[in-house]
Amino acid sequence: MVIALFTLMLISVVATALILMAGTETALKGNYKSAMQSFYDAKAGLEEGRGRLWARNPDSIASCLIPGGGAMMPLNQVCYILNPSAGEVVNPQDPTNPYADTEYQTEWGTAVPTGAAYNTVMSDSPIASGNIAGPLYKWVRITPRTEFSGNIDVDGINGIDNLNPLFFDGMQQLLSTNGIPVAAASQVLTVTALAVTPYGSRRMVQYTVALAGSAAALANVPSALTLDGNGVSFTGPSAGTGGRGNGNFQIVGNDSNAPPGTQSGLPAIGYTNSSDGPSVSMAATPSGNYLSPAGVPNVDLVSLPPILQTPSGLQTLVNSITQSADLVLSPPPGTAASQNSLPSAMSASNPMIVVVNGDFNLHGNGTGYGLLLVTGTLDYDPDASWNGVILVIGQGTFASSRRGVGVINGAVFVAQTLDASGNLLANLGYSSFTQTGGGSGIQYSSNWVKATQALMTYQVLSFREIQQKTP
Amino acid sequence: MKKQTHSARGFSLVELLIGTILFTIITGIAFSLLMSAQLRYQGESSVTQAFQQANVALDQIVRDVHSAGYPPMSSLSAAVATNNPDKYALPFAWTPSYPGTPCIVGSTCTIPGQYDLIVEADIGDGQRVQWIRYSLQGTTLMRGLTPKVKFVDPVGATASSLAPYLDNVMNGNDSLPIFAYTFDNTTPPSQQQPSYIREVNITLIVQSAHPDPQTQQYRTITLTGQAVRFNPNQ
Repeated sequence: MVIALFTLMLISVVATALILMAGTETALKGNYKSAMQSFYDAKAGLEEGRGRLWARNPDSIASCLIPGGGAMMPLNQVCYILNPSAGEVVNPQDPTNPYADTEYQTEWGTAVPTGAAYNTVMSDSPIASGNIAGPLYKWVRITPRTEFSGNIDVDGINGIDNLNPLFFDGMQQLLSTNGIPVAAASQVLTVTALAVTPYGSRRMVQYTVALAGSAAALANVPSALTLDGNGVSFTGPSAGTGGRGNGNFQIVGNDSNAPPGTQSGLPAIGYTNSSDGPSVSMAATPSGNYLSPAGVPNVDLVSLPPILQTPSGLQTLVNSITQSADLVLSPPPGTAASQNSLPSAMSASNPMIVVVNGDFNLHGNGTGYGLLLVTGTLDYDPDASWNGVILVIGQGTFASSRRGVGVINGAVFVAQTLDASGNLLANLGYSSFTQTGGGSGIQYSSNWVKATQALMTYQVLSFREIQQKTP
Repeated sequence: MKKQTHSARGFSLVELLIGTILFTIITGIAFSLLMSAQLRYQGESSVTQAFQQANVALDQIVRDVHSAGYPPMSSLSAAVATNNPDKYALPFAWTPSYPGTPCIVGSTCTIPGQYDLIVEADIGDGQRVQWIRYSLQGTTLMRGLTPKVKFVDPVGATASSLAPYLDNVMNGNDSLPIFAYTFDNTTPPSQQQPSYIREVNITLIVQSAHPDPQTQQYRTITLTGQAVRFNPNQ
């Protein structure tokens, strides 16, 4: 009897200790898991917000951001994407709601606006048809960004305030004045997300985003063919290369999308270093092959936004475009990717962004649509055509020696930013454009340039986590 | 007179002795098992405590790396950024030659290194951009925060702020790095400079504060984690 009692007591003590230890470890791991889950839930909210800012997103929230339309989100405007769980009320405006947006007061010095300035849409993360719950974030808030809301004196003048929105030109943030958007720059927005798990873990994270710098850069294409750099070279086909089986080579700066009866457009060829003017002009013969609107020189010195003026700026552009790319090709050194790798879904109604980290052969008889960025040598067979913008940034070599009738509708930009080993140059090098075989050349099209610009997504400028206290 | 037939005799001395000895032996076994369970509990508690402390440290490192590089240089106009590098954060500081020519991690860099890391970030504590340094000194992982000062060496600036953060870290003894790095390869050629660190892989080998009462051996646990820098390259 005594033995049995002691044995029972012993087993009970050991079992209790084991249960306690297991319980402690389970609680530790559970807390960690819950904290991690809420972080990634909040991050998922940020990505939904960023994705739905894109104008081409089927669930775009443009009308939530700018209900009245316009070029930029008004300062007093706020847009929330709400994502309540079943039977739950998420109201960021209500201070008594467990998911109240207390951070807004910190950033704007006022309570969450009401009335027309407050707009909401529902999350599109849950998939009702598949009975799939989305991530457990509660809301995503999108606002303009100001010096005060970001707590950063962007221009170093007069401290910080909430009076003027910030813009991003691809390199830096700039303060607008008097509510006028900064030229060649896109508005900076703040995307904030709160996630709370059923176990009570709260995490709040924040992006600042702006349209990719390439969007602003593309809006400022200065010529049908732009040779960016120093010591650039241009070689066109000699007279008489046109004819049967070959196009009548021309580089035309006249906008093919100008309203009927009007003329608008750009120089046929633009260069950025005045000392390159004579050699480019001399090579651009016969002059009848290089056209521009009346009053605009066929070959001209052009100015570029800051992001296009330096190797590092252009590298930032390349990185930014790569972030938005539908397809990134990386052919092994010494080989070239080909047009066979282009997405089959690419079409006039579905232009795409293709980035080639290396050499690319644009051959064949097909037509590409969208933005083509090549960091190596672009070998162009003018049997092929391209509608959109072609950027040759890196080795900066556009080469074409074959015959054909293909045409590039849009614009072409060439810049050398890398040496032969792939190292970033201190200064822009000597980009070259050679098309000696023929083809139909380049036709500037503002519509195709705009279509390419619209492909750019919102890029992340910064990320931070905002410390939370459980209410 | 009727004679009583039932026995009224008690335990004999021998029986009592045997009973007492048996009772003592059983009680001894029971208490020794109890003691053993108690010691095991103490040992497990010590390991659990070490695990919890290491977990907190790992989580803090991950959070700091998440915010590395906030706010980036592009948050300011170029003119302001040029003259005020203390107002923006590079993702990671380095030595030697900070803020001049960046060193190569794993080659010419002393920091970031296998046991030393300096994160630059505004973590929202009202101190603006700070250097957050982790440094293994002996078996203690130190952590220190100090506001970023322009054109100042971050190693010297953070030295006095370092305070013990996690004890009994055995990575040094085991020659196993705490920090390992992976890099972005979007900038050709892939340059293993501090600014291109994208992920910090963290390994913490932590020893319990007390030896296991039964084996008299210290027990170790290994925690691994991966921290991603979310801020873009600058």
